[in-house]
Amino acid sequence: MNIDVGSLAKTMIDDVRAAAGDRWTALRAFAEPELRKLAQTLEDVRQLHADGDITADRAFELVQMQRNVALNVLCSIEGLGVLTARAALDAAARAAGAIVNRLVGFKLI
Amino acid sequence: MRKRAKAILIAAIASVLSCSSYFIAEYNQAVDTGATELQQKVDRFLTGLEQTAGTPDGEYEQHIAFYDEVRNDVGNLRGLASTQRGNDLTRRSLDLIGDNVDRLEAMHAKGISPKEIAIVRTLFDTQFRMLVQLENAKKRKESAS
Repeated sequence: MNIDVGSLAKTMIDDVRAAAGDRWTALRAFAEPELRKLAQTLEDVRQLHADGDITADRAFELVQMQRNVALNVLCSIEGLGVLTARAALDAAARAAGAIVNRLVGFKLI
Repeated sequence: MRKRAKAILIAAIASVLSCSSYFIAEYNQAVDTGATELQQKVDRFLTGLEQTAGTPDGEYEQHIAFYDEVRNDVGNLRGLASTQRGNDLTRRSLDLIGDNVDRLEAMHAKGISPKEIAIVRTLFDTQFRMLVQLENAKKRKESAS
């Protein structure tokens, strides 16, 4: 039985999009291709097993490695999300700083 | 007086907003360069192993030193990353790479084929790319602010 790569990738993308919330717009271009690649690699492992090139144990080991890679992808998505949010906060802080500095009459922020 | 109180309140809010969970470590050139070099080292190793798998030159016993070296490299990068606050994601990424190096070693010890190495290469490539992307995003963020 084949893995439906498109469907699996869509499920992963939908879940990450839901978790990312309004940061998704900034993360989408980075996250989508990586999540699609992850789904494809799972199918590649399944194919090797189906063709008799690897044992079930070896397929399991490769999937465990793949799991680590998926966590790496999520770490990067999380980091990029934090940096995106941080950039938005910095912009807000700069705007607030301009108001504060005007109010106090000197460069406080 | 009221204006001053308002200003202090806004300043306090702004300073709280700019810390907390939104804090992420500054770009570290040494981690970025080290990760890129390690990526190249692992890739060269896998290229060689792909060609020698199944021959005496590809046997695990010939490559034990490589695994020790890579584990040491990952440990050094982790040490560098640990000196910075807010670097949990980089540390976690390095731990995941280290775990996969151990898993590759275990597979290699039992025997590994070129087809398996091709999959492993894709996995390591993604892991290192993710790490380097994260470091580069820190750099871009700094140059933008």
